[in-house]
Amino acid sequence: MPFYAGIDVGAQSIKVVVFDGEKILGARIVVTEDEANRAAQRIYEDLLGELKLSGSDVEKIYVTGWGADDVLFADGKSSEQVCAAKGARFLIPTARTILDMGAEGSRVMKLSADGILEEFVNNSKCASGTGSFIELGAVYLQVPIEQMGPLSLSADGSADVSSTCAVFAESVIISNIHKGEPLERIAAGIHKSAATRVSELLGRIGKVDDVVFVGGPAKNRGLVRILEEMSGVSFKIPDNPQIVVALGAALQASTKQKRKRRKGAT
Amino acid sequence: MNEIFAQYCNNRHDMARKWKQETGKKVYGYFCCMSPEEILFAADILPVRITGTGEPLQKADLHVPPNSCPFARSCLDAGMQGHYDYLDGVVVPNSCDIIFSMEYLWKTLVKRPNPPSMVGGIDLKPYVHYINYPEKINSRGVLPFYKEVLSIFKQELERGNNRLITDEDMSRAITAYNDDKFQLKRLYEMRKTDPPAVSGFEAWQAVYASILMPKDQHAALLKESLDEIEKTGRKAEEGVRIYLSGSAMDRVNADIIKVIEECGGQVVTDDLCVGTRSFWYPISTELPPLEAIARRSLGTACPRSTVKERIPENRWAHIVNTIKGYDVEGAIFYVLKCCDARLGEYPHLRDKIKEEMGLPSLFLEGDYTAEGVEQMRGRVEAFIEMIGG
Repeated sequence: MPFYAGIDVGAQSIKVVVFDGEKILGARIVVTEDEANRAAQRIYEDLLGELKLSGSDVEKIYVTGWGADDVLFADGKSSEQVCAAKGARFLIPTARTILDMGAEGSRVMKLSADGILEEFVNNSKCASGTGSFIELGAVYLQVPIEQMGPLSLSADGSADVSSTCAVFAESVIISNIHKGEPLERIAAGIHKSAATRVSELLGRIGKVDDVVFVGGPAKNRGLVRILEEMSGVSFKIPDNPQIVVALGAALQASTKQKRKRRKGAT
Repeated sequence: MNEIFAQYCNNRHDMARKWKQETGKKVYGYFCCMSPEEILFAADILPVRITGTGEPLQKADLHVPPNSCPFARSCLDAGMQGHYDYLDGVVVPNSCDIIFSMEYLWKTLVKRPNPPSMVGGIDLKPYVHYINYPEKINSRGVLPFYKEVLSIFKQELERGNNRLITDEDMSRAITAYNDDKFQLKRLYEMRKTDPPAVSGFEAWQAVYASILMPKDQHAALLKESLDEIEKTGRKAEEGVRIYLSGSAMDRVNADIIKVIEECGGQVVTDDLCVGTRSFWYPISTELPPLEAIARRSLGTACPRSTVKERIPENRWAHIVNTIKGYDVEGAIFYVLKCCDARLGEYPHLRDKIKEEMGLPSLFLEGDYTAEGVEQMRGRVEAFIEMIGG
């Protein structure tokens, strides 16, 4: 049986998935500051070792994500929007709208009833409405990032963190700390600020159920709750939301053909 | 496609200076494609379109706040830095609100080549000419009003250059412009095949050169190149067929066309003022020349000219005309920030293009820098992959 690999080189971590055409055999997520090609190679080889496979067992490797162009050993490349859509649809076949939130970018994809990617929107060129916005908040609050979600859930309301600019938010957060706002309320405010931007994306594309939430921030229960309240959706979240895009790349490796012309407007 | 076009695209100022030196004639700069450049040509003046540098601003930021149109600010900055020191005059139409203000800004901030010649409070040899392009372009009374505006402009040119502009001069200009429009249309016609005969970037180069060099020379060169392409039957790269719609597309941001090509797309037609909007419709040879030029100028399908509908009829008609027959698979909107007229119509255009033509759209926020174009690569790639499968 042939095997396929998908590598998602994100702004913060590299995700690798090995897939046998039907199911995921193994996955790895590593936060890295190393050069992308070297890091991806190492993580990929480690995963193969763990699965007791050799490089020759893998028929094709597809790469996606922010640093995709830096990975030199891949056989092909696919965009993160397409991969997120494929991966989410594979795990949740009823998916019509996919929210993919990463460290430095968020995007929403809309699929047709038969799963064809029809439209996508991205966040604008700044860190608002991304994972790193919440992470920066965690740094200012001196709270581990995993605690941010639970902390915000325990709040009785939210502090005003109205700025959506990651740079200006710093001063807003710090002035909230000085005012003596409880950390929970500030954490809730940070989530609310990020969620506003993401909810805008969902609104812009005109979400259709089922809405699937993938990417690291999907593991943040505080964010999920506030986003659900704000945009009036109920997300479906895969078990390991962080590897969905890498899975999509592996799926692309297993299926991608030469382009077919679709009928244009005449 | 043609070496001379590439030279004009990459070294426009040197080429204009060289032309001026060789011919001893005058060069005028103008803003926006609705400017009545035919009248300049009739006066034996070379009209060149004013564009910016895309570099960080050095001088204009002192006078125009940074949250206004990056293109207009960059144009002004280029003027203030002396990039346009070879111009003998500048023409500013009342196109959009920021270009309109260039009349005052250019007059007060850019060094003029010769002192004004004041008589009774009137400058007989104005450096900056203002064209009062009407706010509404299709209501009653517009044509007589605008003919009067152009007639005053013509008189200003005559006075400033000590030269009468006769009807024969005007007809000669109209012929030269129509010849060039004909060749450009032919170029666009050759992009209807799959793959197109000419790539999107080559076609952009040809159009951009046409607004920087004498139209008669341009038409002759373009004809030669197109004849050659027809003879050899050469083709450009195959790619997902893209309709590119956007704001000013000059040397700074035209690399978006290259990015689209590198991502597996091919721009086959467009709605750009350095594109179809600058040449699509021929000038009437039946009407008196001034009226024919006025009608051509009023017929420019710039999004700035709105009527009460969100997408004015003339805009939509132009879009249909320029998409029909090109077998387009997707539309990319590259709109500069602060280009309110364009941004305001975008959601309506996106929906209408989708409903009536079944085309998906991608919106890119232009910031008029080369780096900004590069940052769009990921989205363009995803869009083309989405269409191409």
